[in-house]
Amino acid sequence: MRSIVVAVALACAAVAAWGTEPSGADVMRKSDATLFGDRGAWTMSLEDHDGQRVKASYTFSCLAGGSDRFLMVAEQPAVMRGQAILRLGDTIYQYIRKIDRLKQVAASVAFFSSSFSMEDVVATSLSEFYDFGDAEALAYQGQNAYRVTMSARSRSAAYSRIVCYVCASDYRPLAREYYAYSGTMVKRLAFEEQRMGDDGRLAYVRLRMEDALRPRFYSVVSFSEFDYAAKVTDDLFTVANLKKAAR
Amino acid sequence: MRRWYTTLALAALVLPGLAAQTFYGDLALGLGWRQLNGDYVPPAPEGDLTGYLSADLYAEFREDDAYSFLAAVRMEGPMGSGLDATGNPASSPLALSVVQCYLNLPFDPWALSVGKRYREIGWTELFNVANLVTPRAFDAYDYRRNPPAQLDLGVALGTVWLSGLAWFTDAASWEDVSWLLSAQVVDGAVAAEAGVYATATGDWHVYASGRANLGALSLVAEGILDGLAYSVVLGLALETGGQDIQLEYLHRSQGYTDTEADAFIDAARTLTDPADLASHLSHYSRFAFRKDYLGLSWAWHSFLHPDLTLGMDAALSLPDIWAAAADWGGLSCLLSAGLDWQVIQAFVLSLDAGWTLGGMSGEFSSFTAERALVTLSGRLSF
Repeated sequence: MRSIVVAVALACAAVAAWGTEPSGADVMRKSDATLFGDRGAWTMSLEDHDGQRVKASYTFSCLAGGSDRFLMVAEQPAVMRGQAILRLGDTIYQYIRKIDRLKQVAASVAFFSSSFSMEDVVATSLSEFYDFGDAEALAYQGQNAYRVTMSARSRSAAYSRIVCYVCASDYRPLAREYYAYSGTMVKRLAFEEQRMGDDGRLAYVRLRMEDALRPRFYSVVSFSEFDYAAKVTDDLFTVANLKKAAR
Repeated sequence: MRRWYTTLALAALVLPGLAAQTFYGDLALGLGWRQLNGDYVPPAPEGDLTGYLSADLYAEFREDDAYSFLAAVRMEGPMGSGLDATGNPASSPLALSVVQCYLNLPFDPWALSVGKRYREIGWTELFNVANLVTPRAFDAYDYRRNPPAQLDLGVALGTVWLSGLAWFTDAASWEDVSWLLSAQVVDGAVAAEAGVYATATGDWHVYASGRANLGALSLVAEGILDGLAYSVVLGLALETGGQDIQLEYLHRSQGYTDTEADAFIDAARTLTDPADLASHLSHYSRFAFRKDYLGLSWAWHSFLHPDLTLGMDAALSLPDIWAAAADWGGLSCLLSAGLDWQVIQAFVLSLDAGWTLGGMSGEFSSFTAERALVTLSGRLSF
């Protein structure tokens, strides 16, 4: 009799566990883990499109020293040389070497002329700036997926809400929808291609940010040349180093 | 002193063979129409058409972790007949100047910079009272003065950057050295700096400047003390992603009262000898005449189209608002509006209009040649 009771209890527990969705925080933590990681160096290439026409293109060297420490140095085109961007917590600093100008920049400001905001580009994880809602299982473009809604912790975040779609099987991010504080969906991000290296870590990813308010305009950004063994120390993420790094 | 300047010039010749090289620049052409200001005190320029051509060339050489060298050369000239008022060739139809030329030598945690360069001091956007080295006002790219040479040694101590700066105000008298000791702290959303100047004229100044970021809103404060005289800037900046707004108020304790300002302007109007007038006006400096100024800058990015930016700037020279009865006849305003069209990544076309508002006792309306100015200009980057 006792063994029957135990078996029934175990069966109930198993059924309960099978039916429980992971939390939104769990899904996003695992999803973030398939992307950049907290520390390392890589190259970012960005193209702004107006329909089929490429309006502008940029190349940056990137360095991440944690989820809220990020350094970007402009490499191309030549006219961008000497510009660098540093994220320190909630605050973003931009330095222009040719006029020795250092200024604070809001997270919601456009990243140069692209469809991305500063926050989209100079952060490896959104967990610092948004609270996670529950994960909701659904079918997204023919795949089993989770939908997690994130809400801004403060007005210093670029968006009021971000809805993330994550592949249920391997936690790859699939898409994100960005909502302004007015409640309107303003942008949509698609993860177009993601390749992993032999070490099982991200080797290449290409994203496409569409502006929901201006259908012909979009930006494509790709991250490559990842170096996870790069020496990344805390003193690299200081304003003093920002000025030095701008080249 | 000239020896190290010569060394710097030699470095400019030698370094290109050793380092990674980058050359870039821009070419600008502008054509304008102006309505002359009938209340303008100095002899008014002739003609209602204006034009200019300017080119900036930057040459950069760099060996990472070893040194970097930047030279910026500017060529500019008015677009005229090339003749002066008497029909003879104009003395300087085209000006060529070395805007910056300096060498950076980093040796962690120290850094040494030697040469002529822009040196930004303070966190304000519009009125920059803390900067005695390369002060600016309103337009970040329009520096009022750039001394011929500086020697800047800095060291990073955690989040603090300590700097000792020597600068030479005149290439003809290298013995006149001014000094600055400063400390800058940037810790997350709060940035602050403070310093002490000892100028070649024997004056001491103490300054402090800070900025706090509250999300889209930033607060800024800056002040400088010269004996009992002081200048203070208080401001706020709002960046919403689509629009940027900056508002700053400047108070100078040594600015003219209404009576003094009227007397200065009236005296200028009575002077007929150009030499006397030039001597009198040498005491005038824009944004350092009155006690109080208000500045507003607003930019609307992606205005109607992603490639368009609409901007507006306003600077108000206020009467003595702290007096019992301010004379509002002394109020004057510089107002400008512009539309930038990013035609391609490397080319921007701009249409700008500016107005000078105010009466005969206003600062800007007395010392600005144009009452209205409309300019069409293009800037090509390469």
